[in-house]
Amino acid sequence: MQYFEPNFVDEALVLLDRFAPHAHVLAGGSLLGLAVRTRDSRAIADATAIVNVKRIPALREISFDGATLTIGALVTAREASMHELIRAHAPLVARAASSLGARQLRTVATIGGNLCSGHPAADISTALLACDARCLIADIASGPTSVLAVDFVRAESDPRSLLTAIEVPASAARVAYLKMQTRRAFEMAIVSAAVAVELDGSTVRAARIALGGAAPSPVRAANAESWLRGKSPSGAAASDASRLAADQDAAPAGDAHASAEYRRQLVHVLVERALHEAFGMHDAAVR
Amino acid sequence: MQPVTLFVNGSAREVVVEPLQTLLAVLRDHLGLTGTKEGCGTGYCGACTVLIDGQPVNACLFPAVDADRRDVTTIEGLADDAGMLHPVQSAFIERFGLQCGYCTPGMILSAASLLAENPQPSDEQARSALAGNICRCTGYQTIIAAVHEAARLLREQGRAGEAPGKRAPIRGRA
Repeated sequence: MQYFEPNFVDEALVLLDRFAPHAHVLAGGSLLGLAVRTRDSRAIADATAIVNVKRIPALREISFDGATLTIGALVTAREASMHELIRAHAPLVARAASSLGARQLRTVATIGGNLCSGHPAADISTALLACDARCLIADIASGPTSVLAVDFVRAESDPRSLLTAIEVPASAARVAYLKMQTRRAFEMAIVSAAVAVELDGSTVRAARIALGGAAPSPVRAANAESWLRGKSPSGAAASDASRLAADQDAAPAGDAHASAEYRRQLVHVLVERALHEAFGMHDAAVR
Repeated sequence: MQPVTLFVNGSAREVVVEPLQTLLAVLRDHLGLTGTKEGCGTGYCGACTVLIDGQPVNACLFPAVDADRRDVTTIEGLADDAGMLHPVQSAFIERFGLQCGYCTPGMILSAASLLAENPQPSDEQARSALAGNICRCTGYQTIIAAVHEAARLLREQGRAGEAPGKRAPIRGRA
């Protein structure tokens, strides 16, 4: 197995192209490290090259141009939870990042790795979906492209391409991120709900609701979102919308952690509570 | 094979590693620093916690190549040159924040890292910072009490906010 530490994106792309599909990108390393430790043969048995992208400074940049926040793919969960620009312009991402795993994992886990993990309840990915985020992808053959995060997490990634950054449009939305875990400390969420609501006086102008653990990848709750548009932000609206999310938008499968029915029930409860929070309601009865 | 220079507890150590070899294997097997323990080996239990540039990581998953030219603080590096224990170590003894001791090096490093950035943590902040360190012997009450005691000792000694362990004179690359 060969090992490379490129200093530029283009250099990484040449390597990925040369060894595709047998090159593995090494970013934070927790997923790849886990694959090695648990001898997950699918992940590394066929690897002939490791491309460590951590020496590419461009992948760590965070910037805001007044309309769009750009977050480098190598930004860690720890950085995302603390960085001023991310807290100001993508508070949902900061919240999800601060809830990810334990402190040791947040030191190393990257936003790019979270999006590429393929996990149905990946915290930061679910939050990014509710932000209408886009993934910037570099590719030696076709040049840089961008794709909506919701499509990125659903698709099989091209082994020759590299996720370089995430773009989050600025928004004045009120947000909430809630999740259910068997253990608060570091277990993955069973189900999570990321909610962003834009209010126009006393009506909902737009609602973006993303669900983790409710489908094979994080998904948007499109039915609940369109139902909420134009409604007034009330407990009844939250209840009806969360019911739609659970019944029509979620498509959970049962597994060792939770049955499909339980996941659906969690979608209902978490979306309702998240909407309450985003609406600014502080009804003790729903806490 | 990849040559790597680690600044372990303030000393430059040169090792040659496999691309995906873990920092834990390098510390224990190459450098003989067996204070860092392997628990689950899969990034859950935190027994293998060490600090990279002051930040806690699970050494069992951390690629050794990524520690190149960075400060690695292990439990062996907390006491001073005269062998005087670090206040976090003394506090764990004083408050009996351990039984078998296997999780203790990781607990102490997580606690030391927390106290460097938050000299007076609340109970909740202390529990959150140690959430990735599992102890299977005892309850966590004495461990949390030890963290508060360590915070008090550090303040009393005028060392609040001090980075734990020794740093190499030349800083590593980011």
